[in-house]
Amino acid sequence: MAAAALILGVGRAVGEAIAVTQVIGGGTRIGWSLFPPADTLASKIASSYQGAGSGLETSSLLYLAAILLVLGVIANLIAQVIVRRFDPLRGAR
Amino acid sequence: MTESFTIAPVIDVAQERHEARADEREVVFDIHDLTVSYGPLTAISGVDLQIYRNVITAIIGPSGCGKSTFIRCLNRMNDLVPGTRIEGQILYQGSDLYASGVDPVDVRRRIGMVFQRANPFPKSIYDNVAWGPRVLGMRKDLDDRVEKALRSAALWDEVKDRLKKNALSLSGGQQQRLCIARAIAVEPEVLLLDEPASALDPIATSAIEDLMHRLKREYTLVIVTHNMQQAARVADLTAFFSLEVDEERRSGVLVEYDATSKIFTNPSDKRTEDYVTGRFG
Amino acid sequence: MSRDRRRRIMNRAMEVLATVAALVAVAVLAIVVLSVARRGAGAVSWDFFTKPQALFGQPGGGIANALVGTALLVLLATAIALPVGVLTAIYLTEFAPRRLAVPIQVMIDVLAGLPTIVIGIFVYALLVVGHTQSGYAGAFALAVIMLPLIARATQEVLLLVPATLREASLALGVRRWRTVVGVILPTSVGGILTGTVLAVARAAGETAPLLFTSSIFANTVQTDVTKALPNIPVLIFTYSEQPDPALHQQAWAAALVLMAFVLLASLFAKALLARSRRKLAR
Repeated sequence: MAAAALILGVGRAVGEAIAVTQVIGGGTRIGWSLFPPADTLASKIASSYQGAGSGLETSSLLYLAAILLVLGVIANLIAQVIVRRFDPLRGAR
Repeated sequence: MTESFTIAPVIDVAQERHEARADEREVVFDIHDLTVSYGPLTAISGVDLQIYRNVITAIIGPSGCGKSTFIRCLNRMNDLVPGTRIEGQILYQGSDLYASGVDPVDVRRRIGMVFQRANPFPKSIYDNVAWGPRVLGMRKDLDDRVEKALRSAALWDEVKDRLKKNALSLSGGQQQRLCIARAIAVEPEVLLLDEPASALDPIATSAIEDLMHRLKREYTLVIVTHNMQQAARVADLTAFFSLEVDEERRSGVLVEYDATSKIFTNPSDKRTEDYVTGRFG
Repeated sequence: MSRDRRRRIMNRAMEVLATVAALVAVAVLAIVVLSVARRGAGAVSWDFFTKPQALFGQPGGGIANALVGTALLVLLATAIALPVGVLTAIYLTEFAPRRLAVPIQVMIDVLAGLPTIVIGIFVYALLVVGHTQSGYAGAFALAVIMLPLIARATQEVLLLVPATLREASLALGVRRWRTVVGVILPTSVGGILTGTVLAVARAAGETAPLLFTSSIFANTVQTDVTKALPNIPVLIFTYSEQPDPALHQQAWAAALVLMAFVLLASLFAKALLARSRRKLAR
């Protein structure tokens, strides 16, 4: 059950856009250090929303959203499988 | 809360009971070879029975012998349990109750049911009785209808000053009489009572039993009870069900069906005799 | 060390750990509430509530247009999400066959966990592309977020209604649907209301879905739903990205207003729940 909660929490955190955007700064480096400004999938979408002019830019933002969607759905489904398998009372609606 | 009842004259039970003979009474239910199973389990098998008009018929027997299953077939409440299979025939006033054109909802209006635990709606007393008729289109003279139903259930005098109060504020016995009033309000022809007094104290039980004697003048009553003394006090005819176990299955069967006095004083079947004398069950 | 003593020490350690964790969670909430209150209180004034946003560069101004806009958006979203959510829950608990009920339930739970920015983009692609941003689009996005919350809350209360009540109504000869409307729903109203209030509190504060559907708006009070409606979360977001410290101050104040609303709404929902529990238990 804690595993399910963890996965659900991770799913939510991955998708959180606004809170992250405000503090993460926005940057394009790829690296492991957590200190310089960076971006997450969600924050990239949120910060670029107004600037997206060309069709290519809009499409790539939508692509990011699609990836986020898939990640979110997978995390959710895994959590549900765990809950339904180990707690039949809750799943048996 | 003390029970108060409005039935002043003590009804002489012996005088009220009619020893019904088959040729005198109109048949309301004609049941042939009824077998009911839930999935792989057979609840009752091969039941043949007639229920007569304006008579109180009691269904007695040990637990698990299918009494509730039987009575629920009479108003098609078993339809609500998935996986129920019903074989045989039940004729209600000559027509097949389970024919394909029959609307089970209409059946349930004409054949009412009162349950083991009083289950009034969380509405006011008035609304509990009035809601059924209102929803089913019997909207005229609703106040009169409510009063008549409550009087028939021997509850009017106790609640007439607080009709707007929540039904759940009544005592257990009063709630059960309210459920009877609610069932009567939609003008059924038959009343099925599934152990109506088993959750009540003796005084409330007695009030319900007296009520049944009055009700049988207008309605046909079928009551399931595990209390033999109650059956002896109340019923004109008694059907004794028991469990039959053979290699393939265990199911409830009708053992004996006769006038109440005969069942309790001089039963024909040994199984009946064993049960009513308390040797088992 | 005896086993008993070791067990007692472990027990105590776990207790301490759990208490500390709970305190940390509470502390985080306290820090958020207190810092928002501290920084925002200064700008909250009567003018703040009644004046619309100031023109670019001008001092003063308030959040009146955003308040009105948020109210309209949330109202519209509730008007969409409430009936759909309640009906879905009724279908799931009363009418759906097993084979359908489980997948629908799964999908509702997935919807509840979707990142809100994804929902925003989806509604953007559906309703904004080819047209313009609008209050409709924003409200629809919020409704999508509110829907699973309301449906789940409704389901919980519907399942609490004892089967004997359903039986009593059906035994009277009342149809299934009428039983739901006349007996089961009235008993469940308290829980439905609570779920709705909580969903409203959530929707009022969602920024991401509105970023794409209702974020380019005017400084004036706007009630035309076919155009983008000003709203508080996006106002906070955009102000916080500006260099002007006066705007930052206003953002803090707006955040304080929003936070107060959410807190009050949650308390209200709890009170509603307690009251409806008492009515049923009598």
